Amino acid sequence: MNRRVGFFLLAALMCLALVPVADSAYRVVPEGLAVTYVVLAVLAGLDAMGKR
Amino acid sequence: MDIWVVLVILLALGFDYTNGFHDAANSIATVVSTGVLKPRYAVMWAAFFNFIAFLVFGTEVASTIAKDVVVQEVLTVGVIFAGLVGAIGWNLLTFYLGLPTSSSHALVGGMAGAAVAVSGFDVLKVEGLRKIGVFIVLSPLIGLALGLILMLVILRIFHRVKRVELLNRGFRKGQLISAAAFSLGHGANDAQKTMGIILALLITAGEVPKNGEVPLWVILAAHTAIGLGTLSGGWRIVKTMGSKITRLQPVGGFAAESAAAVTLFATSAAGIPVSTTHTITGAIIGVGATRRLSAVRWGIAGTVIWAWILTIPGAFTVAFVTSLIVRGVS
Repeated sequence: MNRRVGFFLLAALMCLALVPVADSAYRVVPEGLAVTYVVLAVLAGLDAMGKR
Repeated sequence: MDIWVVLVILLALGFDYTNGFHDAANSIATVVSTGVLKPRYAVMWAAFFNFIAFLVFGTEVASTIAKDVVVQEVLTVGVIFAGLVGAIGWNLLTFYLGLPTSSSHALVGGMAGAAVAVSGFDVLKVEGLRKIGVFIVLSPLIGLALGLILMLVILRIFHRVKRVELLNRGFRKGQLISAAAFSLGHGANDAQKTMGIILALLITAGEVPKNGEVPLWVILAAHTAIGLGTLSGGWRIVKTMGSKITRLQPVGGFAAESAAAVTLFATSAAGIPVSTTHTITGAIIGVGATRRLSAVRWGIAGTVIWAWILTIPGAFTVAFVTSLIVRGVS
């Protein structure tokens, strides 16, 4: 796996792990951040495939 | 006002000064390392925006520190003194070692350690600590994502510009604004932590009612202390932040500071105490990662992460021991 993709997916997992712990008022922050990192992982993956 | 209360207020302002000295270097690290401002002018620029932050932001973070870390009944002048000694002691040690750890988490760890030494773990406010704990992890991740996205947007907009030096010249001016914004966010979030401690002290001493607001003189004193701390600078940490994590061009400095500033504005408005150090470190890593992940010197980033992990237990332990000594003496 591309290193950048792995890094972003790891960051997304960290955010997801914080969702149940976060206060309900702020839960949207780790949720939104997890989605952002997944999108970044997909874009990084597409970028890597395009360069091959 | 009791003389001991006055002395602990002065100690709290001393902590604020060391906070400025220790953390505010983050505000100017990228400006100095990219050569936009000479160190002397950079610290003056940052200190000014640290000070005027009180005109822009409220005191929600102060309220969180004063009321959401430990139960108010356990707070005495001695406990607050021990908490501050724990935080200051840890700050000075990490400053000596050149590690960009968080003064904010040192303060939270210190207050918790001092209170636990007196009345056990039941005095900790789980809800408040959970909110702070979640954002310990989230703040660098927010900074990283924003820094990376902003840098990608900038690169996309200016990808046709062939003369990189021309682009950098433009962003050198932009960095003055982004550094000012970051200093504003830093002043707002960090000065409020000291305000929170002084507010807790004034409530304990009966000078302010239990649900009272932060007095204006406390707001002004806290912003003055952090501004003066910034003026004194902290060059060992500037070096780590500005060049050892990843080498930055003015465009990267602009993106990192802007991303960190947005994070600090949002968290300050929400009353969440976060670490300015964590936030800017994440943003710098995010900017570095747009080139390639190997552009980030992970060894240094790893050292920083270890220092983060050790901050709360370290300050907790120093404050715990100090609290026991204060109790024994008194």
